Amino acid sequence: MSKAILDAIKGRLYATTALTAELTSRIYYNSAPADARLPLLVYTATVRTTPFFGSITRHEVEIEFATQYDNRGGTDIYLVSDGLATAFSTPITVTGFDALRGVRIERGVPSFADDGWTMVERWRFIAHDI
Amino acid sequence: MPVDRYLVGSDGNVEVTFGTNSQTFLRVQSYAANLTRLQFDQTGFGDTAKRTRLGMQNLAGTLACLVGQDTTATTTASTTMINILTSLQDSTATRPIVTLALWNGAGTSDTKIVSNCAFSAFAFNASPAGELTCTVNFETADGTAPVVTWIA
Repeated sequence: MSKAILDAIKGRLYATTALTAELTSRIYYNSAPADARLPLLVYTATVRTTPFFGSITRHEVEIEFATQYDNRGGTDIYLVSDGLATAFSTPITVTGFDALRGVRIERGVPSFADDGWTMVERWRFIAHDI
Repeated sequence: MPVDRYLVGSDGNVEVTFGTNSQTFLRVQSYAANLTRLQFDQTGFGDTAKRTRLGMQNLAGTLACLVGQDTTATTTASTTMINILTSLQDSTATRPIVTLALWNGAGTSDTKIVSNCAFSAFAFNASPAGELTCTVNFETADGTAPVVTWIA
């Protein structure tokens, strides 16, 4: 996993007004702190690398975005989902890579448990180190 | 000296040189290549075993690639591999040089096959889920035999 890629994704999330309007700064990598306010977003990443001749590597980063939301019976949880689409609608600049581009490969379905909504969606990001 | 090294794929490298420029337009993930000769059966009456003669050597194969783009270049750049993607009659005097290295020892100690080749087919495969690959067929093209360098 490249720290530069993860930092770039985090930077884009924080720079997207559609997300921060809902979440402010409650966007966390891997785990949220205890008793964090809702709504919040937790993302986890896995990576697959493919080597090419000539010292170039293709990085496929798959990220699961888990949204936790506290609204009751509303559809506001989709504001976060739509915010992700806005955030990753354009390529992200990453030092040492050509560009980082994301595609949504699985859209989540909200489920209700423990007095809160959870929705998980998966994105795939692709970059080549250069 | 005994053989003290066996090669693995990651020892290798692929370079395509168009004119004097080594191209990064194609980034090769894998290649398959056949170094072959035609074989003629000349067995005649009186022979007590098969008699064969070999013809000219030929290198032919396939590169599985990523395709790049130079965002600062123009579409009229003449020294890049864009020439071989256009529909114009190919009048290039010097064919692109394909170097298939099985051991990339930085110059003098390479184990490699080098041939001036023509690219006869490009198969592009793209999907919006994040895949764009290209398969290129190449074959020896200018009457000069492939040069095989081997340390063994």
